[in-house]
Amino acid sequence: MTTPFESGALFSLPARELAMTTPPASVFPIEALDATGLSPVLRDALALVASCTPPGQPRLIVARPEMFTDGATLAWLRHAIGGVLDHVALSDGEAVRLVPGLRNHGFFYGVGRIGDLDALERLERRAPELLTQLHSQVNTALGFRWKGRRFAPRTQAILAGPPLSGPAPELRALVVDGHSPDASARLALAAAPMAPAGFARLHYLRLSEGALHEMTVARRVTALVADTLADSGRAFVWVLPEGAEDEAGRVGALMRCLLAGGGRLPRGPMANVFFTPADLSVEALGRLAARRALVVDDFVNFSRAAPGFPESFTEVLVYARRNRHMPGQFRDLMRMVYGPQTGIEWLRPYGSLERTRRS
Amino acid sequence: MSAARAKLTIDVGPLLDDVWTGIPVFTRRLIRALQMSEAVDLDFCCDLVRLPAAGVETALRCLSGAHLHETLAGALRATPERVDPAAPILYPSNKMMRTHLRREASTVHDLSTLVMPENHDAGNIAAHLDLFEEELETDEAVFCISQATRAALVAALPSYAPKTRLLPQYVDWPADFRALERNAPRLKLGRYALVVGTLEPRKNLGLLLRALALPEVASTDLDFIVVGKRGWLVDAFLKNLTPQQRERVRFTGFVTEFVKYRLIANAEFLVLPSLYEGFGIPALEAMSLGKPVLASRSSSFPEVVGEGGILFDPFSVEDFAGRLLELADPRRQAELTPHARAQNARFTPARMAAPVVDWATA
Repeated sequence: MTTPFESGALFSLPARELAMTTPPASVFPIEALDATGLSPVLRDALALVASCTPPGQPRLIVARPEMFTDGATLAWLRHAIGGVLDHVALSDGEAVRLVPGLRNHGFFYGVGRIGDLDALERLERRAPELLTQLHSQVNTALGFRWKGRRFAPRTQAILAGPPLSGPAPELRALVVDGHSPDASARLALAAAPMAPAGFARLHYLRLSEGALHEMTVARRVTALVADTLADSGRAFVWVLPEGAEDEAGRVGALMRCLLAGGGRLPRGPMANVFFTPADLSVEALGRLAARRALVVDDFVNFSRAAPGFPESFTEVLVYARRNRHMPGQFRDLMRMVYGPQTGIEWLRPYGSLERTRRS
Repeated sequence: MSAARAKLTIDVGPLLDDVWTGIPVFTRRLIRALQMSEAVDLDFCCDLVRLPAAGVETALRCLSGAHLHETLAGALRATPERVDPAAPILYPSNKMMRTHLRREASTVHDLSTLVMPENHDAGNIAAHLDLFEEELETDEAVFCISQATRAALVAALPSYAPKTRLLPQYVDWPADFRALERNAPRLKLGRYALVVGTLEPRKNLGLLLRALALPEVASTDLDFIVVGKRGWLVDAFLKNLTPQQRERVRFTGFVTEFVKYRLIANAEFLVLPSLYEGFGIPALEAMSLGKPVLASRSSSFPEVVGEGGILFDPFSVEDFAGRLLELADPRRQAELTPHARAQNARFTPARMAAPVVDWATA
């Protein structure tokens, strides 16, 4: 467990999410937050960064950092937070609120979602200098352009959060029902779970919602699936992306990506192409195949991986779409997370599925 | 013979609004302050088209932009005369256009589109922010209407700090309002506290309703009157008001300056629960009439309200209720009244004009 916030930390949440709660005060202990209205992704992210304060140090939430700009308001805030020196702005990309005088860290926890990444790119276009004020960024290696220069806040990797609990995830076969992603998703979810094993080779894909909407990614994935279908000794497992609220929506997102990637896919269940709602255990992966390749993208959430998970793969490939500004920093982060043998494939942005379809 | 005065062009685009609140009122006060200073020769324009001073003066006297539309149309019907490119030009708000004259200055009222975009629609955000850095880049001076706004701008975009200057406004009620109010029939509204401002989410009116649910507040004889036009993203809030809440909190919608004056003059005190303000001119308006202010401890309120009111935590209903009950006591109001008047007296036309004159004559 890392403890980057030695003197405790002040956290701020995206305003849209905060509106789902009733903060008891402008500044309050994290324990007083009624988190039931928050999205699961944000709850998870908050728990992750909150776990990085040493025991006994304050863990506080500031409802609206923008209220505290200078003079009396800032003095009041300083008094309220005691010796806390770090402010972690958990951001959905729409805004990054800074607290003057504190070390401001940006945690773009949902940057794998389409809306968050679009919002962050808008913010970068409109106020790039704002983003250069960040002392560090948590779990991303984003680079920003400002006045012809490239800038990236230092990356702070936080990998060990509280483990997720719940039943072991089940595998189901992907099903193609013509050209309808939603009908395909319904059929796939209606089928019984399976326990396949003994393949020679496995491709295991963990892609973010945003990656699934990229045409370049779609083409690669569709090609991988086609190769898998042509070789019964191979298997392909796709982890559902974070983002969509229900499982049908998440399976639908996979199918949309697959169907958009081109090529012809046989109608009906696929014998060796599966999906799972969450990561399989290291043991389950071992039963599935002897040689295993992990394919991820640059914005997939990696913080919750079980111990030994990345090491259980013989190959790791990262599809990188938007981290060209700071390739070294990004490569370092990926290798720290997935191991020294991690390969990075820089994808040329080709456009979203929607944009490509329109044109 | 005295030396020729420096010339200054003011973009009066904000005055084209038919109804003047917020930035149009700020623009009017700025022009009047500069005229009183007698330090610069003013020229007027709209989108770089020069406007006759007489047309602008008529609009300033009538307190409405309706006449200015005609002036602008006349200027465009004739061969449009461009502004003097050598003279400094001041925009009382965003420039919202690419101009690139030699000496330009714009005015930042707040950074709410940047720091609380969820309270604005996408078009409004784009209008304010798409060219924002370019505007600052091409500005020689960036006027900020409060120290809090200046600090927020510098925190977000520190490279523009050397260009920033403070431009605080003042209150100038028309001279006849006092006599008109004295001679008008007495208002029969009971004891009430006034809330002034466009209705929008950041005004945090939900806090008022939550406080009214507390027995100690519900049992007082104090009602609330909310003055201000309906802004954005408040329809659901207004629709969901219960009959009991409507009984204690009355919404007037937009009112004329004189009606606002009367409502302030007859109120016990002013309540500003807003989460964020660039300046908070209603606070100054209330203090100019000797009314104390109950305001959020946020952004510009501490510097504007000073000793003339009480601050509270806008997220704590208990803190708000406690301060509200404190200020509902007429003895406490009487204690604060002289402080309120003194605080208002710090904001004068001369203070508003000075930084602009300094810049224009440099």
